[in-house]
Amino acid sequence: MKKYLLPLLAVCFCLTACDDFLSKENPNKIESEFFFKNESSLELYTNGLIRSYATVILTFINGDRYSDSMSWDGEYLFYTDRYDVSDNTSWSWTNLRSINYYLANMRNAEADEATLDHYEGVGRFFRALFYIDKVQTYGSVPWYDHVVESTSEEDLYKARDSRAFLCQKILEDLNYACEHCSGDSKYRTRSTLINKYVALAIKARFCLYEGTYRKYHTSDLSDPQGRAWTSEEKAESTTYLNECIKACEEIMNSGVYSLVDDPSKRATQYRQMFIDGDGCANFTNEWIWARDYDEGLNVKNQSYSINDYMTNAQHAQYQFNRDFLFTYLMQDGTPFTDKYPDYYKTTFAEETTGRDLRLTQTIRYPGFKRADGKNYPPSFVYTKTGYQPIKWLQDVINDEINASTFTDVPLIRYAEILLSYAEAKAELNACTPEIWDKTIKPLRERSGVTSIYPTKADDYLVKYFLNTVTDPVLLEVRRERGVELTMENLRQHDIRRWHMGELLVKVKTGMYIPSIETDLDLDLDGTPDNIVSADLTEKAGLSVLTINYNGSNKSGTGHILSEGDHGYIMVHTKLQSGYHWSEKKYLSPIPSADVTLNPDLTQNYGW
Amino acid sequence: MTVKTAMDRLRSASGYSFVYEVGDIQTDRTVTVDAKNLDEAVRQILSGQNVTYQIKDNNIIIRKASPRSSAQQAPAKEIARGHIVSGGQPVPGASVFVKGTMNGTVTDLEGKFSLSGISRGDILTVSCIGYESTDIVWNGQDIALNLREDNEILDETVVVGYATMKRRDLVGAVDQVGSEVIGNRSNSNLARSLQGEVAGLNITIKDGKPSHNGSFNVRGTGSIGAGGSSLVLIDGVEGDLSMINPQDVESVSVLKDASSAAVYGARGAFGVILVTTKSAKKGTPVINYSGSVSANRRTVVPDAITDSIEWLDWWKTAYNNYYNYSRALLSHIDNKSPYSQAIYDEIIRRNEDPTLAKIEESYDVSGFGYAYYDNHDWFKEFYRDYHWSNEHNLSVSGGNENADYYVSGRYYGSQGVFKVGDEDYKKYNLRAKGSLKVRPWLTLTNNMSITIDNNYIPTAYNTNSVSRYMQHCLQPMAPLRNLDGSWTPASGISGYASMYEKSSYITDDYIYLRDKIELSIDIIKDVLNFKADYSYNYTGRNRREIKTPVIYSKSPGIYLETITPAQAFLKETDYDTRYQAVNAYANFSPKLGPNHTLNMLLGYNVEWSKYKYSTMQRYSFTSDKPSFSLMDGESSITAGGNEWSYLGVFYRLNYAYKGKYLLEVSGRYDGSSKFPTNSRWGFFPSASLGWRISEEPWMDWSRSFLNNLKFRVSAGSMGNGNVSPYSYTSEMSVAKATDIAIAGTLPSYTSVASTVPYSLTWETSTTYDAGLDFDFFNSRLSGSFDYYVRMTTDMYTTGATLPAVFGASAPKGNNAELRTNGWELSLQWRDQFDLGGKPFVYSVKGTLWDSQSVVTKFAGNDNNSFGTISNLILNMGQPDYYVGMKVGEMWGYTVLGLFKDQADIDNSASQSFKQAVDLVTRPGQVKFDDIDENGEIDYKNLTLDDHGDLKIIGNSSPRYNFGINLSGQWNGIGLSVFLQGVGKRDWYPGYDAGYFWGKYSRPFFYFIPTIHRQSLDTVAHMNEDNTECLNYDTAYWPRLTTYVTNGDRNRNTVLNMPNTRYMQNAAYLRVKNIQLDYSFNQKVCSAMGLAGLKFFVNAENLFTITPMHKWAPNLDPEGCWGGDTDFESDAINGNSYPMFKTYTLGVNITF
Repeated sequence: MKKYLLPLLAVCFCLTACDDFLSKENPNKIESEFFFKNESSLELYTNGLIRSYATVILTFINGDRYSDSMSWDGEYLFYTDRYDVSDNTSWSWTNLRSINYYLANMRNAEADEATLDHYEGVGRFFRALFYIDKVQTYGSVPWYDHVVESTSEEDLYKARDSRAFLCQKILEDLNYACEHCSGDSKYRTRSTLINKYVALAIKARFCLYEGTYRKYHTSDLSDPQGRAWTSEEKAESTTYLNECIKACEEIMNSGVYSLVDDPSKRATQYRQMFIDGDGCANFTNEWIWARDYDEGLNVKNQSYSINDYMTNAQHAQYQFNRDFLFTYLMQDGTPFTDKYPDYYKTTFAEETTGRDLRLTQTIRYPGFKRADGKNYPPSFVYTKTGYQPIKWLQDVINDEINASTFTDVPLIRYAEILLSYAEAKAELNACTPEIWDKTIKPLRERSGVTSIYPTKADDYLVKYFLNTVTDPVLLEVRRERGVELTMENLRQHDIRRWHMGELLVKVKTGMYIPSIETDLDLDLDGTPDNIVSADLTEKAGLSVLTINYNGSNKSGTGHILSEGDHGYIMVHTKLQSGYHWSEKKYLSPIPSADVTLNPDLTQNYGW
Repeated sequence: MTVKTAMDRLRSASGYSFVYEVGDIQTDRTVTVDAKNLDEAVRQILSGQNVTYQIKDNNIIIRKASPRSSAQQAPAKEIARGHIVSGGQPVPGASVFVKGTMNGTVTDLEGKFSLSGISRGDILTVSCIGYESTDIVWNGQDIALNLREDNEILDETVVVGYATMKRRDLVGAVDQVGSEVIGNRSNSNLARSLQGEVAGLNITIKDGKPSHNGSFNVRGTGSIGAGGSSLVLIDGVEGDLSMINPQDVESVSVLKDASSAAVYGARGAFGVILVTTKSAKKGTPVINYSGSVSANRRTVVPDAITDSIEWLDWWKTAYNNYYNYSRALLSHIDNKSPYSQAIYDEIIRRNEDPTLAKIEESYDVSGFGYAYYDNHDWFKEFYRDYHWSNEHNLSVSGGNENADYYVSGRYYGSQGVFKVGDEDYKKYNLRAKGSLKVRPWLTLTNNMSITIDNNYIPTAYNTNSVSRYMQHCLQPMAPLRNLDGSWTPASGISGYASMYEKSSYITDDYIYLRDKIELSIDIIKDVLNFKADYSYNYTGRNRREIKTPVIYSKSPGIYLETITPAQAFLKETDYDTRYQAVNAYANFSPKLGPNHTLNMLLGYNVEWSKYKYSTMQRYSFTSDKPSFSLMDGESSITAGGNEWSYLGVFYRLNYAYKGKYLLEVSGRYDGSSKFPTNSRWGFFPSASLGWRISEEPWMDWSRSFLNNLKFRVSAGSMGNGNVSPYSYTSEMSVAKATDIAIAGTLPSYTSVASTVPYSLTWETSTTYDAGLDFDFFNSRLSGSFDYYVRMTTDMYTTGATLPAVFGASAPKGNNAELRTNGWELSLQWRDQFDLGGKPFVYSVKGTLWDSQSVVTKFAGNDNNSFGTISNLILNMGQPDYYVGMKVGEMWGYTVLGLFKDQADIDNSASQSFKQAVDLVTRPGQVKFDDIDENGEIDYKNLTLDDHGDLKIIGNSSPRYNFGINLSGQWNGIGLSVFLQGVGKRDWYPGYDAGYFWGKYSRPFFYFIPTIHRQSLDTVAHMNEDNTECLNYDTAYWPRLTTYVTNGDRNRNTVLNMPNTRYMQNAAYLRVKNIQLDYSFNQKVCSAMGLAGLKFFVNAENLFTITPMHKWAPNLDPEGCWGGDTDFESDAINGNSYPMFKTYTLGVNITF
């Protein structure tokens, strides 16, 4: 030992070696300037971008839960007057930093020009996605096409760019992606990668949003005074609708995508798309972009079981709004509300008979069975309106909270392209029977509904949309969109771009109850299964909805029947009475902390 | 040389003369004399002669020893008398014993004694606290003995950085404790024995898990930036307190101020703990064995309601009150047991008739095919009442002038707290230490140790903690097994079944190998010494986690799995740390005459460490054996690690003039690889002065009672470089996704490069310390007091808040400051008195210390924001750092009482807390103080300038720490008591603290503390129609409502935010250790052929006094702070692994 010790000491005393001795390199990380080397580095980085766009089923359902189509338990603060600037904390710019860092450095990688272009397109696609979310949530925000440095006062304290400017930038990014991203099948594997068609589909979604938003909204709410649109801004409505049409046409004409439709499976194929363990393999023709979960790889959709959220009374809080369900057509293509002019009195059995096949693939109906072959009637304990969702509900009967869900999630489907195409056309008064036949007709047919090109506005729909829309085709397109895409996180966006915020805070309604304190047999198997009651004693074998009747005041959340002791259920009237819509709510407030830090970041109108 | 020559030389060297009768000794014998002190010299001179001697005044009196044969002739017993004085004054209370026997007495007030049963030639040992113990041969005449004063305390050798010093010469704040405080305490590791023993050394033991160390800091929070804790050096090399065998420890020295720790420069900013292991005892080999067996029992045994009917009643009320009767009761309890009115009635029926089964087949709407009617005490099912641990130690030590050795081994084994699953902990220590005098001027020492630490931890089938699952699953209705023997949902989902089947568990094994080789060269003996050492430490750790499904059943014939077989996995992580260090230093102490003492140290230190880990994980087993080779699922490997190095040059200079003016200057120049080249080096100097006032001539008047009075001041700075390596480079990592599949596989991905800090260099901690040491009455009373201020500057924290558009957290930089003020006091009294003719020797030592840290600069929080409300809640009301904040402060609401009725509510400030699903405030709920008088209970902007009704209501930092040692020895019996405690500390029960909140937290929580029993009238009682709270003025717990501590943390559930009413005072006084031992006297031992024999019993944590137990009797004031992540990860919920009372029986044998 001694032999080694002295030389070792001698080395250590040699101070010239100190700086070398004190310089260490991280063995497990790459110093950033050396990262981008080749195509794999680009793939690696864009994988991170795809991953950051995380979506689980719950996000989807929760997006629609607070819309007009569904109801929820508990308070939704945003709809109350108590929501204020301090309540918004979701002003994150982390993803943009990552995207801009990528775009600034990705061309250091060595690859052929087409590959580089494709990957630049992917980066710009994600920047567009980032800004779409920001514009839809906050209106105008500062635009950055480069990484913000911690020392750059100019960038850090920049003022907001206008909505029109941002949308133009988003469109530029999307157009670049549509043009340069490859549509090659290797980028379409299991619908999980970004390619030309994903870019086109998102472009269609965005352009439809912005086109209709500019049309139905009168003013720019990002302006503290809420100034009216300039005529140019207003006129851009048409531009965006046309861009939407262009994008849709490119996808439709490519022949790459089609609707999942096997005429023999029309009663089940729609729901199958949302409960299939391997949708990314089975529905590639309809799914343009999806998130792939996999039991074999142990990649879970939910850390909690989605079944638990839909069937366990403790957590379940999803319930459809009856007013929305009325929009599902009869199979003969006529409105349900025409068949039953007294529709508010219809029974559950009537409501679920002869309807658009998507209805019985979206909610429990009399005779609904699960894998064990037993009847599963809707239960008031799980669902206050009585309309209990089954879209997304897994077939397996493991409803424990700790069970996992591996269902793949479609992020954007071809069906939406058809709907967006039809809607953009209809908004431009150009949804001809020919367009109709390419879009709405196939969707209705695969759901067992006879397609009829509309010539007369449906009274119920006119009323539903607050008498603001009378174009029969446009109304039908909206009906179709609602029915087809429900529980897919689009409804709130639709309502907002249509300027229909009032619909979001309406009292949600449930089943018609002929008489309080009377046993109900919702699955029609001869045994009572539910009851609506103002009394608290437990009812053996029955699921109870406790309501407030005749001063019983037992229902703290204020469920009531429309006529007191009978009528349709009105849920959460007490909470609903605290909900108010106002113009400012079309945009969220910018968090006060950031407005304080940067005074040029003006607050949105009304906040 | 001859004996005669030796005697003459000794006389000229020492001034001592030999007095003897000619003929008694042979003066012409040849002897070799090489001795360090007088006594040794005399013994060597007289070796081989049949004589005894006594050193008295300046004479060495030699007498002929009694012939051995006469000793065997049963000599006549006589009475010896004597008079014991010191400096002309009588010494009362001194003990006089016949050496090696229990025969003895104690001197009276005049210093006189008489002792019977003594024979001529017997040796008497005279001893007394404050005097040197003296042996004298009784030759039949009266004894007049003059005892010499002893300065044991002042002369005590204290280990300081790279050297030792006499306590009298210390000028820094240094404290040392010896093996006596570690002694026979059967603790799994050293930190537990040190807690409370050293003023200023804060040791926080969070739970009783034997593998757990506790965390420690010297003098409070040192840094809120890079953080860091005290540097622990074991025999001069960085180490971990948990790896050392407590029985190997000779002393533990704590260097508290900058002056004493300066030679450790950048590593010692937060104090240095120097552990010195036992060294070899020269001479005949000494073999020592000690062994003990201990029983461990929880310090608190949580007491819960296990009667199902009572449980269900609580559940119904809490649930219905929350929903205000708007929601029908569920048809099951959290999916673990079915519920209906019929089941409820059936439980009552079956309770009355114990012959009826507690389970039956019964189909119900809730998906169950069984109905459960049990009254099951699940707590007893999971946990043992007590568990055993045992310990065995063996050491051998010996050597001669040229070589010596110390070898020791230890085994410590313990069961765990779980009754199910065979939790197990084992630890093995081995140390071999030896030194060799190669040349008279050259010594080579090697010190090797091995520590092996093995843990087996039973767990649930997934990653969540067992305690959390227990809370959620174990309602008393549910039995262990169904009729067909399958597990019930409660057993399956709680993890009980996994533990029982041993199908899910963690093994965590450590190995520590350390070797240090040291060379010591006396270049000029006693003047210039050079030492160099090299150490290699290897720490290996292997952690395996095995999770597999368990099958359980809710209905006959239908079996469910807790997880899918595809989710079953084996995860194995190997950690590997290789650390090397070289120290080289020279000590120069020139002889400068009687008035000047000079000591210089110059040294060099270099350290480097390489750490790496790799984790392998694979899913899906094909057999019962957990092996990667027998698995067929997806696999993944991740790796990490780092490498760092330090290099430093240090110096220290001590100068003393006439032993009364003391000066010390020291410093260190340090470089670290963790900093960029331009800010890599730091220089940290310090200086201190000492003045021994008691040595001044003008203090002569005080000599009779004052032995020492020393005043010291010091100032100095040290660095802290505890940042993660490579922080200054912009880097990217690559990871494999586990949450998404892309193109059919798990993708690898990366993201944006890390941001680079504004600045990155040493944090500096500057300490100013003033202290006083004193010894009175022959060192019977001694003590010291220190006051200090420490400024930590350049702390590495987040920089000024940047607008969110930056897209990353604001880069860090050296831009925060902290000031800590504190003091330490320790006092000791030692004495002895006569008890039944035997001396009773006793001592009392008390230490008390306190410190408080205040943030004086913080760049990352310009607008003094408290952060988000959810963080505030999750941190027990502790806000983000702001300037002026005291570390640990807790903010919350002030509670005025409970609401009596609606009128009371209407007349009070309005609140919008979630305390029922409809947010309506009702009678019996908590009424808050509207401090800002705006008519509403709120927290406004949650900033220092605008915080609504929040105010500081507590502080979680431990204050007024104290330790009290009492010990007494009498007639071979020893008793010692050690009390430890904290004078001030607050704890607020977190959102899931079931042991405190019970049903107030969650409706399905199995645990309802019995203290909630309504009959105690502690819970708010409501009148019939729930409109008035009848005992609003006397009840402690509010209206029984669930989810009032739990739920949406962004919107402030009513009891989620700390408030004054439920804030718990976690101060405590704990009897940490009581020990009773009995040592057999030498005669008995010799008769058994032993050198020593001692039996002992001791108890750790025997009892505790804490105000917390008034309302939180189920929680331990030390154990509520969270700790074991294998057990419960949330720090605020009090679900730690429990603390234990330990009862030990042991023996210590020396051969």
